[in-house]
Amino acid sequence: MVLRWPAVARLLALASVAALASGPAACLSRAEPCAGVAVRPGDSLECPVPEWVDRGFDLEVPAGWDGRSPLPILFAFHGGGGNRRSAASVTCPEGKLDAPGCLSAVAKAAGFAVVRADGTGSRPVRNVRTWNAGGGTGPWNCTSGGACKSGVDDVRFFDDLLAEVGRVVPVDPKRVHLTGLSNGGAISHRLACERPERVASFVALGGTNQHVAAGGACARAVPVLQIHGTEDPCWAYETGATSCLSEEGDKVGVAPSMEGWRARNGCQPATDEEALPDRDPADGTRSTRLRWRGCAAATEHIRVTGGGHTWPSGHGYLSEDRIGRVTRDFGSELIVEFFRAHPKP
Amino acid sequence: MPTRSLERAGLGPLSLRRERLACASVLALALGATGCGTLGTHQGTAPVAPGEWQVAASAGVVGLVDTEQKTKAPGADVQLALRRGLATNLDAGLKLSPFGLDALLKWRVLSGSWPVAVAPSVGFARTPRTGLTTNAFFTWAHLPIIFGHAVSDKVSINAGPHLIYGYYLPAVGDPAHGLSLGGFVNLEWRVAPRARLVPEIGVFRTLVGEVPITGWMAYVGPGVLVDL
Repeated sequence: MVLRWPAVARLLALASVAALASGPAACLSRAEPCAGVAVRPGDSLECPVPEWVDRGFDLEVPAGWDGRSPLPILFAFHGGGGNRRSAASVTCPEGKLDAPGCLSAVAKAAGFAVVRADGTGSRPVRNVRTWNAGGGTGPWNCTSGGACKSGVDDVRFFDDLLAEVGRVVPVDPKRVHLTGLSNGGAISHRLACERPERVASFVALGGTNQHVAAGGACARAVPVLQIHGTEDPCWAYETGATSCLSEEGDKVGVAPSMEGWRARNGCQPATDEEALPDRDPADGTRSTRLRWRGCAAATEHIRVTGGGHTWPSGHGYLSEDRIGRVTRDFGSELIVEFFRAHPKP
Repeated sequence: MPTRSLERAGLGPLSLRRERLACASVLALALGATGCGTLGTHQGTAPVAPGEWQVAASAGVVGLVDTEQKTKAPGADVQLALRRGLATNLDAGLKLSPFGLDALLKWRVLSGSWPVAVAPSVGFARTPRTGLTTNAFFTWAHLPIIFGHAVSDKVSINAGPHLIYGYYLPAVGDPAHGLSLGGFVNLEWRVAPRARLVPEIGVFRTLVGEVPITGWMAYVGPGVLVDL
């Protein structure tokens, strides 16, 4: 069939009018603030953080909750370039959100409510997000890009987020815990430093205390577990400028970061070391748990020898030559157990 | 957006193949899905003759420099427009771009050897939630003012200021907006009795707000106008 120009023009006009008519009709439904919503056990909600442009959070409530008691809250922060969805999937075996080994499933089974929030979106497309975890002074990398470079106040965001969560469900103030991979681990360090009165304990993976390395304040003891692969190509185990991409500046290594927490948490220099069972010899990793002695607040590190920039037993979201190995010797159960063992006194 | 300063390692569950596909998609939708529609004007001052149709197509490259987030990103700008003459000095049309649709008007306010036209348009885009884009609705308004002058029988030069307002409404979280002012220059070269090539260059600066970015945008690309 040969179409003459006027026929093509009519078709184009029809298609355009149809799109114009259907566009607004397919317009999005906006998430209203969740404060005041009657939340039931097992609910999952998507909520905005009021007063923050383009910032929201997912809240998952454990099915075993009685609907009244204050809930322990686990904040899971995404890595640089991720978002609240990737904060969930990166913790899941093969990235499958319904897998029982996902952090969310494990945490909810242990009675925690899980909150995954969005960092600041990189304009113009906005769902590639980062946290202002500190850095950007002297030789230190501004971790991990946009939010840090533009000076977003993610500590105030956390205050507002926690307050908003508290308007949705009752929060147990003695059991507010943080975790995250990479930029999400680094923001956990920063929030523990700047909001120690609110954070009961935190587990950082593949991201260290860039905030303090770059001169930020951190005064009080907070229980910490740092999990880090010795072959992490994105946030190196040793201080240095190695990165998945060519970023400017150094990222602080595990040793100086943990030395800071050892001192703040009142520990002796000596550690007890425990080799974790090599449950998956084929994964190419071995894990050793180090506990500092005599601490006022638990100070622990799991060194994943041969491990990469990954969540234990989680999703290898890029190829192994880009992000390194995933250890299968332990998983989110160990992380949640650390939180269970370390509420505020 | 594939900004080099971002730590892509935390990107999440994207395989390399999907990552490449995603990057290509970003280039394709860069502006249509970011709150300001297409940056190219690719028009002279003359409206389409009453009762006649005109098809316009263009494809250009865009550079975005966000001075607040300190990021740089490339993009693509593709559009296909259809206009119809309504009166001697007025035409109207529709423009399709990746994820976006604009309603167009052009009104020639001055004729003669130094003609002037205004070409307001309004448009919108709807983006899905992906690893790169949010579940959101964008809308925008453009107001280019076109000053033209024929330098020969076949060639005219057109230039003028171009005001852009963008509004970003995410499904979750507060909305944002932005107002940008820029300028453009294009060359309207009649290559056939019913066809003209219209290469164009434009530069824009955000005056207030953050949609599509806070900073500078530049555009360059060829366009073609065909009178049907």
